[in-house]
Amino acid sequence: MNLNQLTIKAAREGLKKKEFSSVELTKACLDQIEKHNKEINAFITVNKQALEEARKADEKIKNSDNSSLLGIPIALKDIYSTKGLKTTAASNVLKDYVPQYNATVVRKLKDAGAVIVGKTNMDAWAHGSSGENSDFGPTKNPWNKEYVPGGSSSGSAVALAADMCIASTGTDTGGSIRLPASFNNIVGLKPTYGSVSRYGIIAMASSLDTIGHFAKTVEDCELIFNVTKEKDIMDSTTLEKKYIKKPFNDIKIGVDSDFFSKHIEIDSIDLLRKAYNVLLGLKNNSPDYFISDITLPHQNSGIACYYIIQPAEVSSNLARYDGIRFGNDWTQLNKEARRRIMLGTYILSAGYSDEYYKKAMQVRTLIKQDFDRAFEKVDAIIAPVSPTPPWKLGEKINDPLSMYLSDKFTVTANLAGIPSLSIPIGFTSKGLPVGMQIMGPHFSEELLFQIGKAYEEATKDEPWRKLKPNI
Amino acid sequence: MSTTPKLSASSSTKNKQTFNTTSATTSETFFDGSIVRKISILAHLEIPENEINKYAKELNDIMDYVKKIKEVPTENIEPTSQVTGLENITREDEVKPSLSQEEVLANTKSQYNGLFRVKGVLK
Repeated sequence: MNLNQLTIKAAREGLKKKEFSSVELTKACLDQIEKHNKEINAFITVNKQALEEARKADEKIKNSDNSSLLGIPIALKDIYSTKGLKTTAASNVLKDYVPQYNATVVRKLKDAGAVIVGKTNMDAWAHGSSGENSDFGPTKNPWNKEYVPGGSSSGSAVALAADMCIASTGTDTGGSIRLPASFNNIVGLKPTYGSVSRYGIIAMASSLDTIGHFAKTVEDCELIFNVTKEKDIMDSTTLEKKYIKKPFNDIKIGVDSDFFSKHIEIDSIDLLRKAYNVLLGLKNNSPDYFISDITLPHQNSGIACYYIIQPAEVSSNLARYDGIRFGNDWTQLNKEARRRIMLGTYILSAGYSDEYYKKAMQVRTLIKQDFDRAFEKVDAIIAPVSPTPPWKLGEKINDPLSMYLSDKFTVTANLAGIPSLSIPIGFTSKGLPVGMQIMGPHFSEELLFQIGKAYEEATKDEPWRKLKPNI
Repeated sequence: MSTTPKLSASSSTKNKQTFNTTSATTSETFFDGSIVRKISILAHLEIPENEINKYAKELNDIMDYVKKIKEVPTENIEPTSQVTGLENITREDEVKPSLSQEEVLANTKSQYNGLFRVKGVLK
């Protein structure tokens, strides 16, 4: 196995035992980027200081520093402000912008010893589900380069799936981590709203934005979360809360039968059923394990609600890009950003804001209450991530509405603020990856990790676990 | 901007009335060329004339989909604007070192005498 294919856990062990250095590990990632970035376009900027950062990490390892990410090469979505390192949000508006400060999460990752290998491509401003809305060109799916990698955190997911880093970060406002995680056969976490600081992350829709990450295993995913989660005085929506804990045997999982029938592609349903049966098999002697009769009656209003609230917030957040203090002005905004600004401006205009915006906020309450009710009966809910596997590049780019609808299973978690873990569950007959969501109540990440790890353990010998993209 | 103007599609001046019906089958005009022009002015966006109709169609399709939200009964339901339940969060107002003037100006394309240069707002 090449060094760049290691998990965080394995890499940390190797570094500690001095089997290899962080410089070697980082170089393996940089070589992979050098070899393949042209074809798959995962990175916008490669960090020229990466090897220097790795050398410093090696010094610390020598001095027995045991920080949890020490010497680990990590890629950051190009929406995370990085001091001295260009941060574009994949928009021409910010194509020359070099932040004067680090986002809180960047600071925390660096404090934990992470080496930043570079900044990854994405749908500009995180607007999109396919990665094609980038002003720096689309990212390709490494499992089949004719297909989209999912968005908006497209480059981070692809960089990890293609072993250009050991872990990567993203943001999830309506599914932007979970969708690309499922399209790339990797693990992705959308954390509880308020658990990870948004400070220094370029804002999309402030009441929905969450700051998460991608990893090769659930264990790695948990390790990063333990670094990034914390109340931050720079983000007044973060809070200190006790995480829900439960022994695995007491965890109950719910399923809404709608998820297995309506509006979802047959290959994905089969894989989801298989995953459901694997989880069922883990506890076949405890009948209370599964309660399948939970219902989320307002699930089908999710996209309508989201496409009112989100563009309303987008239109106010993007108003700051006047090009005076930094960046270029609005004239450089791409079409998707313009659509969302106009939609938001329309929805918030006098006369319509009650009809649409206030109505959507009320429906948001109902969606949240659906989850509250479900979580009185169960500890977690499993659901599809996407109604379809990855689609071909160009297929939906001229039909914004059909692109929006690919987030129908993910947006409700953002509206309710709950965490959701996306884990790989196999491949379609065409060889494209599919994932599954495990959602839980606020601050239930530890339960989600437990379920994810149990599923991983139960399927570790399945042949698809050994597959690697052929780039 | 002093007031937010009320918008109405030129094809239907009684838009408000049309909005109040909840029939999902009749297609309504939310965006047409003139609305796109008005909205783009409000939002300070310059939309090239040859793109106006395409935006109108795309935005209309989206509104035509999201309008179904009006069918959801929401009587006596409180709106949710945020999900944390936090209120009145403040922090200590401490004096701390800030960025240097040089750092603050590092990204601007237009400065004068160590200040940001902006367009005149007064004549």
